[in-house]
Amino acid sequence: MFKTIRLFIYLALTIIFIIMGILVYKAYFGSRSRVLKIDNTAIMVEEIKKISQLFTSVYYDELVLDTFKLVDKAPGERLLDAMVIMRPGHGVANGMNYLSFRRFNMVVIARGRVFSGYDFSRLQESDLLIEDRSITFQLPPPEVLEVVINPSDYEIFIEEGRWSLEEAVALKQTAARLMSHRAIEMGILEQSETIAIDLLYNFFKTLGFETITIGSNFPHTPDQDILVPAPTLE
Amino acid sequence: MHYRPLQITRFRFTVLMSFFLLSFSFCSYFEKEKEPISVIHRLQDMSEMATVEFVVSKVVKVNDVPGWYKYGDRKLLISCKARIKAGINMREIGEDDIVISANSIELRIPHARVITLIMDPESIKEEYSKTDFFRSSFTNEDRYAFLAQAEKEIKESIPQMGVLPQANAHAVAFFESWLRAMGFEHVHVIIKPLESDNLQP
Repeated sequence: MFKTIRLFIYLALTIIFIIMGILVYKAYFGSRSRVLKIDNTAIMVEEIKKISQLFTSVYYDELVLDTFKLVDKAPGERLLDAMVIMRPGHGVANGMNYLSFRRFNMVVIARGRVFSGYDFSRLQESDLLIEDRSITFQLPPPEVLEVVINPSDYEIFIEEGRWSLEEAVALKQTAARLMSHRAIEMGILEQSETIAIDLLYNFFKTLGFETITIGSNFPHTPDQDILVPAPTLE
Repeated sequence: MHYRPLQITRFRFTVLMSFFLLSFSFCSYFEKEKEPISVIHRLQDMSEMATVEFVVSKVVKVNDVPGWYKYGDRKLLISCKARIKAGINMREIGEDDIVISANSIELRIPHARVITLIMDPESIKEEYSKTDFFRSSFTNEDRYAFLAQAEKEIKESIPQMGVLPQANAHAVAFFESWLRAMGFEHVHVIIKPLESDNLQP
């Protein structure tokens, strides 16, 4: 009888040691992919587009995004937690939430650039009027042309639990949207307009035009004129 | 009063343990984002005319073959796309670069350079992932480290893709059409020789 019990205990201890060994092995050698190099694969050119975009301003930003997800605890896990929470003096403020969900955090640092300017492919023939030595040019509205947050600009600082690539990408898209809004709030479009007018004015002046008028489609405050004439050459 | 001691038979124990272990896998979740903290921000001028956009694709292939102390494979395939915009710096066109005589004009424009390289988040997709029992799954930190390597490879292969010659050709076409629209009959647009290594964005 005792021999059987002893054998059972030895067996149980062996199983426990094996499980612990696997866990330790996975913890130490399971990941370690920082030094991994990606395999050499071809880069395929899918499309070549002719564009005419004038980039006039760039906004640099760095955001720290903190997100979390509450994962439904499994019944078995809840049972274990219930045993902990029912101990006297445990002091969990919101017992039901503690029992129901497990919280996983993800903190990312996103460094990005927001580019704004003009898409000249929107220009129509009527936007450029020339008479002798005078030119009138109507600018299209300034816009955010690109928000660049590349993988090398994106640092995952804390990642608890399992987060899919899609979830990480979604967070990156949120960062891009926020950066774009912040850039607009900082006045990137107004700056774009000022730079574009200055640039085109000097370009037309160098081409020999004497009267230069550059109009803007940018919505200004009501007390400002929509058409912003550039200074006329004397 | 007689209490019957609680007897856990092997069958009950097996059923309970199975339920206990299986129940861990039935999970659902919701997530919430907090207000972001902006660390730095800066606004800067630029004057670049982008004349070409290349869309390129790459498959990120990772094969984590175990060493002597590891057991089990890890494999990952991620597909992604990048957009490269190139063009010329308008501020580098000075008065000396424009020569006008009657209805003829000669314009010298700077050599094209890469303006932006962006890996579209929408195009990043995990196509395949396999992790053996003795290994841990790839984290997003791992995945982004692999994507950063892919980004570097795309950046390094820009000279071989012919982005800049295309950008130069489109810039010449763009200025020729503009100058003709401005009334010049004879238009000659020349690319200035490349002065420095400014190919990277």
